[in-house]
Amino acid sequence: MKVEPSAADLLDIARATLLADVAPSLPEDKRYAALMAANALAIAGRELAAPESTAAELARLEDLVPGGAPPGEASTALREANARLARAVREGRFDGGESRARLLAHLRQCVRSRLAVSNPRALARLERNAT
Amino acid sequence: MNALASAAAADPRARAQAWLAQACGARRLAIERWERLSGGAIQENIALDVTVEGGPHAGRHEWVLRTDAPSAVAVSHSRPEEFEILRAAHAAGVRVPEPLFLCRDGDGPDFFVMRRVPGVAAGHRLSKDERLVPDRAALARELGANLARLHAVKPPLAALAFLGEPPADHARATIAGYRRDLDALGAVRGEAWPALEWGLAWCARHAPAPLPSCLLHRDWRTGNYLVHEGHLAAVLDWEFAGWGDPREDLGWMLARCWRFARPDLEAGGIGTAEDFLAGYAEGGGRATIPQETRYWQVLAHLRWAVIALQQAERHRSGSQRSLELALTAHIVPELELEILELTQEAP
Repeated sequence: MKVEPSAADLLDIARATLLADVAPSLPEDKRYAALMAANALAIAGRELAAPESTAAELARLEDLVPGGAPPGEASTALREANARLARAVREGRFDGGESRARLLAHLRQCVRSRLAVSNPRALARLERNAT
Repeated sequence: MNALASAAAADPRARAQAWLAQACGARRLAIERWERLSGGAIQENIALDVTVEGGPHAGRHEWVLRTDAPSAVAVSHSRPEEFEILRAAHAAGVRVPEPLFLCRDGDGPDFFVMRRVPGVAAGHRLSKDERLVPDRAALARELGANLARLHAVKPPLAALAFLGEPPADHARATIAGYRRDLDALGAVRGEAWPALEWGLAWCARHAPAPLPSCLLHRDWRTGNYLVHEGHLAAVLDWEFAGWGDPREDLGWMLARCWRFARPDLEAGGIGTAEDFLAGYAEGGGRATIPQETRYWQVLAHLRWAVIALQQAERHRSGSQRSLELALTAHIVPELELEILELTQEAP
């Protein structure tokens, strides 16, 4: 058994303490650093809470740039497939038609999960525009 | 070097005081205030209050001394180069801190001195506080008009020979450059960025016919200029200036990433694109409609994304551990989103 409270809880309360008890009493030039630190804790907390998406992303990549997923680590397979996609995009293989639409749907999905960690406010904009 | 000179080299303030006295042809020159201003990691800005006795500069002055920070990395122009760029911009009628003296005496890092300009630069304040910017349309027009004056500076210019040859096709040259940058990052990180590659491929397909090169600021945006009493007081941070297509600066200024509290105001959270571009045309710039800048906004987001990845890598690699650099990596997904939004309609 791990000791409770959990990492996520600790990040959360550390951030709240920083914002409520530390930042307000700092001079302006130091407050900025405290706000950055609070932001970093928030990002770390969201990353811990993010749903596992490797398998789904890998499946979409296999569909876009089939390469036969090599056996072994999923993270290695993801890296390789992602690099394959980047090369194919640069070569212009997704410039038009149906493949372009499939690529954009995939990229949108990737950006969505990255924004959920990095910047949920921008994610809200994406959801708004999509509806 | 005699004893006096080596003492001066050890003490930057004493060195500056002695050197400036000579540069001003003064009988006596006293630096009464020497205060570090918040600056970048690369440059250091020091506020000077100076009294000059005798010579053509006799009187009291408020200046800024700009020099390399101890941790400087060679990614931007040197101080002497920046001084020449500032002179060219000043001569063209762009509102900048007037460049006064350049010191390359070899007794310490090069520095230059410019007139100190009052004003506020902070983007979150300028975009939000109506008291700082009572007339947003007027400020947006001033930003456009001043940029047009800068763009009237055309190559070649002997004083700016260090900028190299102007690119024949700026858009295509920058696309090739960003691809090289991504390849270099990818080799170190074992990563790839398909959304950025999509943006680059889109830009390669839609590249417009190039315009003749002119002097670009390459970081003309809210946060990099001072506003005083509601008006543009001075454009700062000239270390990325270079020759290129004038539309790059327009797209950079209009890109979403510099709008702070007012994402609805395309011109740096200050005014509308229409006001900014009207000022640009009034100042002698090429007539441009907002739709024309969309292409350059895509390139702007790509450029910022590549820079953000490079900055984050400086932290990740351990070469410069910094919270600010680390967080820069988390700006990239938002830039990718903007690139996808801007490129989804056109094929």
